[in-house]
Amino acid sequence: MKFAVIRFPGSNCDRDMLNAILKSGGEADYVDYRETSLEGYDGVLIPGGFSFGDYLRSGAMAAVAPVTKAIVEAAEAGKPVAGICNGFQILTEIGLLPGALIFNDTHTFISRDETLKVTNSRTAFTTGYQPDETVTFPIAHGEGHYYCDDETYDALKRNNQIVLKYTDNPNGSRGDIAGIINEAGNVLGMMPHPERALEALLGSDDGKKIFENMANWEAAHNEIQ
Amino acid sequence: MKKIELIVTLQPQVLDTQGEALNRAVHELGHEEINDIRVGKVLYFDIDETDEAKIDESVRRLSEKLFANTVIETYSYTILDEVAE
Repeated sequence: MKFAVIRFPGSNCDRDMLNAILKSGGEADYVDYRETSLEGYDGVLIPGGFSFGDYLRSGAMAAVAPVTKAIVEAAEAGKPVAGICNGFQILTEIGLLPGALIFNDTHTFISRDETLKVTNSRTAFTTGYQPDETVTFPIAHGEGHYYCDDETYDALKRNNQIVLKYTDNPNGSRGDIAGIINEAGNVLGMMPHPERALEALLGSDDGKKIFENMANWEAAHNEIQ
Repeated sequence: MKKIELIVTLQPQVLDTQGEALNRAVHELGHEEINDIRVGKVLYFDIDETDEAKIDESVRRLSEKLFANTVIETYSYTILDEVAE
C-alpha cells in the first residue's frame, strides 16, 4: 500500500505521518497540494498543522486546493483516507465527513496526552483494538470541538460512525466525539494524534494499529467482514 | 463594477467562544446592559459585474463553497455603491 502524505503550506505533522506509515510497513511519498492527480497511490494521509495559516477557517483554504479533487476521487474509489487534527478539519470542510470543528469551549489551545475509548473496533482502521479499549494519544488543537446537528449526530450513532471518544471531554465536542468515519468506512477523521503515539519509550504506542491497518488495508478489511 | 459587503456569522445555536469572552469583558467594564455578543467576519470585495442576478449567483456560489461553512455559519451580503473604474 502506497500512501500520499499531502503537504499544504503550514502542514507540520507531515513527517510524523510519513514516519508512521513507513514504520508500519507501508510506502509513502509527500505530495504537494498543487498536484492534481493521486494516480499510483492506494491511500491518502492528511496531516495536522495549520494549513494556509488557518486563514478564514481552519481547513477552509485546503478544501479548495488543487489536490482536493483527487482526494475526493480517492475517497469515492474506496481507498483509505485519513485526516488527523487539521486533516480532520480539512475533511469536514471538503464534506467527506459530516459536521465541523469549532473552537474548544474554553477557547484555549490544548496540548497534552488524552485518554480515549475506541468505541468502534469493527472498522478497517480500528480492527485489532478491543471493543471499548482505552488508548492514550496526544492532542494539540485549538479548534477540536466537534459540532454537528441532531440529525447528523443520530446518523453517526445509527451507522456506528463514531470510532473514538474522549473519556474526559477536553473541548466540548458533541457526544465526546474525538474521531469518526464516513458511512462507507474508508474515510477517517480524528483530532488526537496516533502518529505521535508509536513508541512506548516516548509515552505511548497505542497509535500503531491504526497505521498498521492502513498499511495492510485489505487484510484489515477482511478482518471486519 | 460593484463593491460587495459579505457578512459571515456563526449560526445562533453554535457556541461562540469569542463572543462569550467578550461578553464577560464587557460586563467587567461595567456594561451589564450588553449581552449576547456574537463575533463574525466581514469580507469586502469588488465584482466586475452590474447585473444583480449574476452578482447573486457568484456571491452565493463562493459563499457556499469557500467564504462560509454552512454547517456552522450563515451569510448575507449587501451590494454597496458603484466602484469608480
